[in-house]
Amino acid sequence: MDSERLIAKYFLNQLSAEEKVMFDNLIQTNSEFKEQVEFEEKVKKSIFQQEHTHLKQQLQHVEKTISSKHKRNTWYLVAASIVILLSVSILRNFNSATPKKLFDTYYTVASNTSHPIVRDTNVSDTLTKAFIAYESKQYAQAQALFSTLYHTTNNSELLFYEGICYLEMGNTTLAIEAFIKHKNFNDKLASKRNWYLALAYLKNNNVSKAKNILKEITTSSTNYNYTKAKDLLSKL
Amino acid sequence: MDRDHVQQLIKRLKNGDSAVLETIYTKYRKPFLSFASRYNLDKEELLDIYQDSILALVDNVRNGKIETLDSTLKTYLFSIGKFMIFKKLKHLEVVNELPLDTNRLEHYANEIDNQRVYEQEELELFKKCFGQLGKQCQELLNLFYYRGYTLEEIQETLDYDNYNVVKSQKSRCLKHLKELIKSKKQNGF
Repeated sequence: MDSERLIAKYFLNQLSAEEKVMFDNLIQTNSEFKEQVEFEEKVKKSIFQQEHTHLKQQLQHVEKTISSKHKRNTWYLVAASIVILLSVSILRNFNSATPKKLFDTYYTVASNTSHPIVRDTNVSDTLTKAFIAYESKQYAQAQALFSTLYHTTNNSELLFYEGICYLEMGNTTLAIEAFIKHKNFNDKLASKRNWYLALAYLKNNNVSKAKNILKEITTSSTNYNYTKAKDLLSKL
Repeated sequence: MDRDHVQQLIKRLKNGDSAVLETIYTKYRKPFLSFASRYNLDKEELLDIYQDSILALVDNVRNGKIETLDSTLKTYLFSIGKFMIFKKLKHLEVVNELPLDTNRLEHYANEIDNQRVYEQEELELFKKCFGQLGKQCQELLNLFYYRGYTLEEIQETLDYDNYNVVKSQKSRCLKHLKELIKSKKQNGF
């Protein structure tokens, strides 16, 4: 067998045991033979690598498409989350700002409908003093007088005005307290008080309680500020 | 995936349809990554192994000595993956029940391994010169060294008149390649 055929068989992995001995022997003794085998080994390996690289690039390209799609998806998700987070916080800011803003829009101080002040009224009368203070926007003074008078006279209407004083003084919690206390009495200010209690809750950021009361107001058109309540409710 | 479908894919692989590579790659990528996650390799390495496994599968199907493939493509792919991982981790244990031509697989894994025996620089020169050969030479040498065709098979495939023509053509091609490389080497690559 010529050496060329022997080498070919070696590369095709087809050497018989006998041929293998011959092959190994030639590698040991014949440098030209050895050189040829080594040369062909390199040819073979370079072709393998070339084929492999070519196909692998194809797969790497596929991989790139897949992972960039993933990345794009994640990017979308990240972007979407950011947008959602932003909108949530913006909305929250809106919501926390909105009740106060709405309060400012809808609130006007309750006029004195309980104790008309006329020029010739005796100012030494505590009740008159209280309402004079109230009407002249001396709310701290008015509140103190209303409080004392309520305890001595049990005039429930005074609780309502006390609540208004607290609202004007910026003490919403005490205002709410006074209005709730007033709720126990079904006097002629009951309907009006509901409106102000709703506003007080609104100012206190308690939207759900404010809503409940507003809903109550909108059940009957005869209620105080029925239209305004409906209007305000639609904005909450 | 039913058997007909697997056979069809394998047929396409045998015919060198490279579009099928993408299909297989995408289909088994995730399952493979989770299957291989138990081995202590990072994702880049696993992807590299996955790619090599697919190419080894293709090579085995095309060039290995296997008559029929009865398992699912996934079974083959994962077996090869395991083989490749063990090779990478230098595990001595042999993957036993591999339903493929293991000799060919071993061979393929060795041939594509860049770190062995030869200077990569020299191999690059071989590749470059190989690319300068005529199409016919490239085809013939590829069939012989890469696909493992016998000269008789090459004669049939490339439609040569007889065995001796193939034989002498092959030595001419090799000689030409050798000269190209030699002259490049003399000119300092």
